[in-house]
Amino acid sequence: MASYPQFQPHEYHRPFSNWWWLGRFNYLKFILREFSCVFVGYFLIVTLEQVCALTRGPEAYAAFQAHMRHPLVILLNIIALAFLVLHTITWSKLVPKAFFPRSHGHPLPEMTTALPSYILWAVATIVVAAIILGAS
Amino acid sequence: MARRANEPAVWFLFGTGGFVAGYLLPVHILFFGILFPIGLFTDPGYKAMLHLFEHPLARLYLVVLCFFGLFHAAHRLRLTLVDFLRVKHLENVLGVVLYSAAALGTLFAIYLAAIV
Repeated sequence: MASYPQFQPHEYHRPFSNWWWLGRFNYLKFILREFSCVFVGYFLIVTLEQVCALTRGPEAYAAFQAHMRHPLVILLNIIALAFLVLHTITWSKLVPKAFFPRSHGHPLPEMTTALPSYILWAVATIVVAAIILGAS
Repeated sequence: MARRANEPAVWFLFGTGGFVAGYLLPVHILFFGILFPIGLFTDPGYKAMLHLFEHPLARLYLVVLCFFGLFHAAHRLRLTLVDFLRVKHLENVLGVVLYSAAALGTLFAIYLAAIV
């Protein structure tokens, strides 16, 4: 009769809670930062909805405007704006870092690498705001 | 993990999308989502918005914003859901679903830009 080892080795998995992201403030910040993409998607869909309403005529656009005036929608949009600001600040801090050369083996200070991105953000915001407000 | 061959292309889309959405969407939300609805600024209204959108650059703007923004959101949501829900085995399924949704949204933006 063939004999099999009594002990079957298998991979060890460290116990890992489903609530790992609540364990530390940094983990929570990471998850909030990453989930900002949900609000990016949300408002792009709203923008598509808006343009779709534009193509369908004044009544469809009035319905869109009425929908946006709902208090819960305004609340959702305030939350979305907060997440978008979080996204743009963290993205400006993180991504340009990879493109800047290091000086004397040290990375440049975060304010230096993030500043051009903040300036672009300000310019884009002013230009878009001027176009939107200039339309009326 | 082995580097995937499509990684630079995905990262270009993802990275650019992060900037495009990050620079342009906050001001959109501020005006169309908050300030116009609560009446703090006068809504330009149907005619002015339609006139604005009829400009070729505005149509291009919509397509660029949706293309980069939607792929950024899709890619990031995929990575985040894999970590958050710990479903590494669903990574490819999530990719197919989310990138398809982003592609559909982009096609819809192109359609809207074409018919106005």
